[in-house]
Amino acid sequence: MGQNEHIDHAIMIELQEIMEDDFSVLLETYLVDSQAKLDALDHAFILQDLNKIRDVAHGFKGSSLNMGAHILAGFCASVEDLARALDFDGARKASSKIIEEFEQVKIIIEQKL
Amino acid sequence: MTESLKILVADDNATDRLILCTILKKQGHEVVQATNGQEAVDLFTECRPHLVLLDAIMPELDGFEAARLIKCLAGEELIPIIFLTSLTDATSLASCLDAGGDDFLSKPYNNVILDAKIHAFQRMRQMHQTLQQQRDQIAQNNTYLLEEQRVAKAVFDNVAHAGCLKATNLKFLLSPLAVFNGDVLLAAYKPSGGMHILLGDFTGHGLPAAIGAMPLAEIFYGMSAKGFGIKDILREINLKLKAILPVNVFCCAGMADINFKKQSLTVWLGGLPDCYLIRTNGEMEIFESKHLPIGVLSSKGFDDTCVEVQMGLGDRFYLWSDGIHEARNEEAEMYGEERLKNLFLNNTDLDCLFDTINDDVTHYFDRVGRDDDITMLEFMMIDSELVHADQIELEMGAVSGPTDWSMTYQLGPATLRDFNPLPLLLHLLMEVPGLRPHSGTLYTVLAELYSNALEHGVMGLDSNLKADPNGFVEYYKLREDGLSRLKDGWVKFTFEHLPMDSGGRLRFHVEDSGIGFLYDNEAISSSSDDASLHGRGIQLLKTLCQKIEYFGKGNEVEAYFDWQREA
Repeated sequence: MGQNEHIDHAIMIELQEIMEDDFSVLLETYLVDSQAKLDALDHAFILQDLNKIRDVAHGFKGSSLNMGAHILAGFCASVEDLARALDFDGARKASSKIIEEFEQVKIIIEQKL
Repeated sequence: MTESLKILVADDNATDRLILCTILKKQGHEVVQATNGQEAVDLFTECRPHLVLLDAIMPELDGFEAARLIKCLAGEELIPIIFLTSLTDATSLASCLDAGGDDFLSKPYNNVILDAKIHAFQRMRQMHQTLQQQRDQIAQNNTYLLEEQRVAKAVFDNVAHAGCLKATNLKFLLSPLAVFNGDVLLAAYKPSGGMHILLGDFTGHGLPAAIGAMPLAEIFYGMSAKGFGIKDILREINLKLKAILPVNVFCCAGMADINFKKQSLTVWLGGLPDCYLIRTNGEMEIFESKHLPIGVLSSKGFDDTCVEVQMGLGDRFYLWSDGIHEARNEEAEMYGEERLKNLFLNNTDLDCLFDTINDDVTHYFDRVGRDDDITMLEFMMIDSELVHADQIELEMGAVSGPTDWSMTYQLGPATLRDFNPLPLLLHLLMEVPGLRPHSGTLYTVLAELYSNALEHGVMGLDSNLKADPNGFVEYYKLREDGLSRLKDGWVKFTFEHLPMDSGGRLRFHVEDSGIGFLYDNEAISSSSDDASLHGRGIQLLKTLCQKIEYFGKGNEVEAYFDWQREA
């Protein structure tokens, strides 16, 4: 169930317990951080910097995993792998999935704020 | 509850950092945050955290490089590094460990797992600290121990100087720290020109084993220099060691007395392995330890029986501790007695035998590292002319003692009643080094002369009473009664010592207040067994002294004891 949702509900509950009053701070941080990562990714594609693409995708994967955004994390992993395999075009195609999926995640998170 | 730790968290992901730091703070830890590898290294130096959580992939300096630097900065201290990672391939995980990481924590973070890991590393850290404290303690103790051993060895070396171990007819093997293995090797020239050698092997190791070596060496050198014989020295050492050592500490020992003039060897062995004598014609004689080690038995039970053998020029005598038999090779097999014996049986050149044994034993355990617990001595019989005269003079210098003197010592009734003058008189005589080897004989002479003067002279007891057992009892009863009621009478000792060509003469003159007896000096000087002498121990005195003569009415007697310096 959790793996197929945009956001894993169980992880959200756990984070809520951990963060308590700071839960909304975490959600905001994630949104801001993710937007920054998307911008960095965009910039890296313009520069055709595969290493940068790989590292940003890796970082985005990490924070998305922590937030329970498994599908998004999966797309990030694809971009990371393709960039590592030096497949620039493949990575660019896959990166559009990241943008689409993040829109879904963003909607859910904003509802929780 | 865990003690609060200072934890450094380095992650460039704001989201991840926020979650992790919140978890750690809720667990009660103090958190220091870094957003890249370089910052992590800087903060590590500044804050000295107990634990580091490090993201692998970070800008500036990645986690791998940061981990290496942090491990370097930590030095001996154990600073566990846990990698925060969403890396999953084996190679990447392995490189985290290669860089000095101790564990991983994968995303998404789980606070239960994180808590468990921190606990585990906390235990490891404490163990490491204990280990280091104990290691430092051990190192410190070892330093103390070595310092103590150094001082103890310095004292021991002063007490047990090498004696005459460097004599040309001796060869020996002795580790510089042998005393801490309990091994002692001593050799001294006797004032008479002979030589004493002693090999001792105390039970145990370290200071407890070394402690007994000091009195042993002191007695050995002191008494040897004063001219005491092997039996007196052994008895004194046994008495001393028995008195001062704990029950389970004693000394396996072999002592030899060498007379170069008579070319004889007198040996006492207690608790040592068999020792060998090998003659120039290859014949071997084996000496077994017939006695218990020194320091086990009381003086009464101590057996000073020695074995005396003639040695030809060039014949050699070997003493060793069991270290040589028990030397082990890398298969942990002992060198053993058979192997040693075969070296003797197959030897063709006595001059090389000592080195052959040394080489063979050394080779035997070469690969396992030299064991220092090997002590061995070879003594070769040489002509008395070759014994270093200068060294003998040196040894004798301080001990020549009084040679020309006389004294008179008179004991009145009260003294006769309550005091035994014999130890005092013997002690006085022992100041003459040449008389020391004869202490037993002199004691007997003194005792006979004194009891004759006191019992037959002063108290007038009839020696014929002692002829039958009942009379014997009666005699001693009368003696006791007489003594307790003694009101008058006296015994006067006069001693005179004169140096002679190669020794000296001690003259005893003993006079008592008694009425004397009918004596016949001619009969005394002849070998006939005169009835009139019965009970006065004169036959015994005759065998011990050069001359016995009575004077006056028989209340004065004179005995000569002549001694020759043996060489």
